Amino acid sequence: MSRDNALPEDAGFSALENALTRAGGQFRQRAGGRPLPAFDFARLDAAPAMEAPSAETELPFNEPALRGVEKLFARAGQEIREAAALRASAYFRPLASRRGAHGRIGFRGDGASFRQNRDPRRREAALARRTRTSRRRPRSAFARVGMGTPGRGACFSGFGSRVAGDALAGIRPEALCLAPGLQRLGAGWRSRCWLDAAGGRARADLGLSPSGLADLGFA
Amino acid sequence: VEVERSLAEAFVRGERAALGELYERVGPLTRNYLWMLTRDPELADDLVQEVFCMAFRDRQKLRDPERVVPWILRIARSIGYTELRRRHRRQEITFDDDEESGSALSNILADDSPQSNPFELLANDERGLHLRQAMDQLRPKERELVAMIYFLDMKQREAAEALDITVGSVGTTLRRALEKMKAHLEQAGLSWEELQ
Repeated sequence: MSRDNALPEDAGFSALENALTRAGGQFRQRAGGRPLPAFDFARLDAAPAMEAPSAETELPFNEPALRGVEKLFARAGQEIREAAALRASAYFRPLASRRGAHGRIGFRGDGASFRQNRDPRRREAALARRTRTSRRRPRSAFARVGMGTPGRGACFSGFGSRVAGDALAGIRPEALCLAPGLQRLGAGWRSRCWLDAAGGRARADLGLSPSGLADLGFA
Repeated sequence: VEVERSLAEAFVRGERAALGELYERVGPLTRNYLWMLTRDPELADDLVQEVFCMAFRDRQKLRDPERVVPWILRIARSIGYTELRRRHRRQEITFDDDEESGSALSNILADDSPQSNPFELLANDERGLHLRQAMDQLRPKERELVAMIYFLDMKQREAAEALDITVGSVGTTLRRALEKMKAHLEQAGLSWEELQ
């Protein structure tokens, strides 16, 4: 064998190599008899259909301005997460302290107990207890973030979601859905078309032009 | 296959004449490699065009013009495997799950049916059949390497560059492959004189 590997000197290996070399030679002989078709230059000029999509084309934000918006949302998302975490830590207590009057974990979800307390002090106490004893946890609250219809605001319901809602107040729904990191908390990314449209709309809503974004240091 | 640096540089500059010449030089090896991979000579003829189209479009990615041949073979490998996967999806060929990227090749090369299979040359008599079976025992990467070295007559360095592994790894893998084949043939009771 002309190759530079060091196979043991062995009759078996020699025979094996000879057989493979012979078969390879026959293959090349047959392949050599099959002419290679001329290169089709017209195909070269055709659209590069087989080209793998690049990261640029994969991203919904495929222009500098939209990338600027993405950065803007990234910053907003960070603020949202920090605010939400802060509020969540204030609202939610360890499991041991979340036992209600009847020894059950949690509280009646309809809020009836504190509405029925007409005495302001008792109502206040019930409200405080309610905030302490909610069986909802931050995860379930955030799970609802981003579930809203585009342009109509995110859906918030239930006590836990209200915690998130407080934290997210004033943030545009597009931002809720686009903010990186939120999807890890349950705010799923919508379709690319949706995101693209949301990003474009958010940019319009914010009154940001590509040059304006550049001025803000985002582009 | 040797390609002058000047030709490769002209190719990188985007000269179509250089592309044509490169195709003439490297095209046969690329086609044979794709033939070996897909077992379909007509498909290989078609894919080789695609390989050179893609190479020309991505020519700026060629860092070292002296390594243009293995670079083209790597593109061919990628396109070949993509085609095999596509065919797999279409025809629902059974694939091994325990192998990584080589699973497609494993099955294609182990398939007995196509008449255009280059490995049928191994199986035109009982001796060849044993050899063929021995080859089928190999892991996909081993089989691909054996095919590159013996069927495409590539040097170990060329095979290493095309497979993006070290030359040392090629030597080790090749040796292991041949040892496996030898063990299989010994088990089959084939004498070395018969194999000769």
